[in-house]
Amino acid sequence: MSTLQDKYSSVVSAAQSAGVSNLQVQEQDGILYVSGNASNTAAKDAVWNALGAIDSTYSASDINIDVQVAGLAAGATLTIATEDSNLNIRQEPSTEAAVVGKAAKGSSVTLVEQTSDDWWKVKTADGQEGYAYSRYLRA
Amino acid sequence: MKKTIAMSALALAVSFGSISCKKKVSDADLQTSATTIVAANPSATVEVKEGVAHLGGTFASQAEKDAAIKSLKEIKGVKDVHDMATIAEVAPPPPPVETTVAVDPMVQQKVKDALKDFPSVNVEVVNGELTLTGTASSAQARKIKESVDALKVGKVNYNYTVK
Repeated sequence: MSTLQDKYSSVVSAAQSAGVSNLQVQEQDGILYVSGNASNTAAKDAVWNALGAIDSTYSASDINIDVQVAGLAAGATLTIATEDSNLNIRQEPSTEAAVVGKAAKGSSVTLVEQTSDDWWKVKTADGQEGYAYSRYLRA
Repeated sequence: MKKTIAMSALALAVSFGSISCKKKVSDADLQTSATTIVAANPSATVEVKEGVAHLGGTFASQAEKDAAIKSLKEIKGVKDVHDMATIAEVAPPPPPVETTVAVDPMVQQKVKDALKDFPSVNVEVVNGELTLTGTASSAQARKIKESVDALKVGKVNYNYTVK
């Protein structure tokens, strides 16, 4: 095992225990790349919690974690997990796009499609469809 | 008379001894030599029975197996090598991780999206590396790294002060 794999072995173990699928652990140019798919946000959090236990500032440059919640079915319920404010639902997957709706923190929206890693197409309770930044959506 | 008989008997015994002078190497000795040769291949095994070396287990490559067989045949006393060993299937190396470039406008936009809610964090590209400065809380730093790591822009300098 390389020194990076040793250093971050608990992160890899956490990913395995959380059932992260398609787990890849590869060292390249001095960075340990850990990637895979999680079936829900809790599994993804488990991996990040493991990193936090090693480095509570999350500023390490020698590890890159790309665990995405994937494979969700259309119609899945997503909970809004913003800091305090409402989540903007946008016309296009970009913060530059027009806001077509809002969803309050703690409320739910329905998944239409996981169109990309960072933006998902959702439908609000009012029936408004648009794109929401996935980091604020808990599955 | 007795002495003569004894002498002849002795002579006969000696001659018999000399006829079968070709020393037969024991299986035990051959086994020791054979095991030493195969020791470099931890998954391979060898058993010597009546001068025949039975090779088993797994070798990492055909070349290594051929080399072992050749060495075994060179052991004095080994009559033959019976090859029952297989070659391990080695998984191909994983493809390299595809990284994006920090100065790519699409990447820049995504970084901007990721940092939108964190006005205390600044971003710039220094020597081709994405560099984040300013201040952030531990929870914010986590969220930022979650978003930025997903972009796979290679080396990122998370230089902000985390409180």
